[in-house]
Amino acid sequence: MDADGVIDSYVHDVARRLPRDRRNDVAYELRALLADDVRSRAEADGRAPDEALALDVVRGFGRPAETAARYHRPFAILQPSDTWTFVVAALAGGALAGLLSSPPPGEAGAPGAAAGAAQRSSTATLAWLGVLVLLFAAKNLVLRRRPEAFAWRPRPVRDRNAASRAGNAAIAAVLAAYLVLYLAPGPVVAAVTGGRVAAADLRYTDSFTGDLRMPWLVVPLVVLIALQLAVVVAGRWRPGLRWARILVTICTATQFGWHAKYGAVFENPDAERAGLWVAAWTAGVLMVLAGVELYREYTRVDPAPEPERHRDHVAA
Amino acid sequence: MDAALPKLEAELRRGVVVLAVLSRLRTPQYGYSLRQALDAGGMPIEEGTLYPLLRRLETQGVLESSWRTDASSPRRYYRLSPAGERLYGELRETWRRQVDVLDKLLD
Repeated sequence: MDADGVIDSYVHDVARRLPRDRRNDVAYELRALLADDVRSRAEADGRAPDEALALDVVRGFGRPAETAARYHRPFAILQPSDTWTFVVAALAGGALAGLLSSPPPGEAGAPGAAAGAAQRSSTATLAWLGVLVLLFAAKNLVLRRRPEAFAWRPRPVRDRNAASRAGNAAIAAVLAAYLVLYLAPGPVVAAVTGGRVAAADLRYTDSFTGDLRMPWLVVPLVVLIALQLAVVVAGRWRPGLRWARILVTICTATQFGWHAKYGAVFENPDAERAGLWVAAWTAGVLMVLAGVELYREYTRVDPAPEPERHRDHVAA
Repeated sequence: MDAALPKLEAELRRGVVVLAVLSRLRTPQYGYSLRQALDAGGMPIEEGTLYPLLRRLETQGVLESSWRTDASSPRRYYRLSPAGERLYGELRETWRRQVDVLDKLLD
């Protein structure tokens, strides 16, 4: 290829990325400019223009896509400033798709259940990513035409350490009531319904009340109640309490998930069916809550000087 | 700290590139001759930056251009438009005020 061939190739790769109404004119000018550059460089070097010299000149311009972007700001589906939001939304949607695609309670061990769940989850995640790409593209299209759109607006910053003593006492009471219900569902429901539901209908199976299943949910529930009471006493959420709550919530969700997966909780088939759905949904909701709290901890802002730099500043 | 110097110098230069280009376009110039003129004046600008900048300034109405095809190769000549001349005068005054302010700050 000779020098003109290199220039034509480069100009073509730049111009085809430009809007139709401008590309021919830019191509014509760019080719003339590059030819001038190559010719003058060749004269300065005392040689004839050749492929190597032309390549050197056009590579000095940058990649064709970069050069085209200097002539015409390209449309970006995702701006660098949107990357964090996109990644968080994609991960959250993917996690939710995974939860919602789980096999129905009691069928986790069925043949093909895991593969079916994986396929549903993958499809839902890909669909969600597609929706996200379209949403961000639409946003950037609007911003390109109306830069003042989506302007930032101030909103009050909540004190996430603040804790209502009454509210947390109420949560502790609800958890305690749930613990009692969990330990003895039959007698509790029979008493609450005035005997309309027989205690025997909510009797646990022997395998569930064994050492390896039912008691393991009691532990995180008790710890959750203790954490709520600690907040009632302190009047605020402290870092240790917040992290402990997240970890214990994940443990609790895991226990509920195991109950739903392995089944054989109630002797009565109707109670079993309803109980496993409740366990599965409780596991999912608790996992989402834990995820939200984890995100809040990760993005937490507590304005304070960085200790090292603060010392330097004071010393200076 | 030394590594930051080239980047900061490039940022400083970036802010005055437009003014330097406008200063050379009171008489018609085509891309390559303009680059040489800037180079000779101590303000070298990469061709990949300069040529798209000329097109942008023309789109904004600051420059006007015309093709001359009488030479051995066709060339597009740029010069300040009437609006560009007014803009250049204002930018030049702004620049001189900025230099005065900075001189006082730096002394």
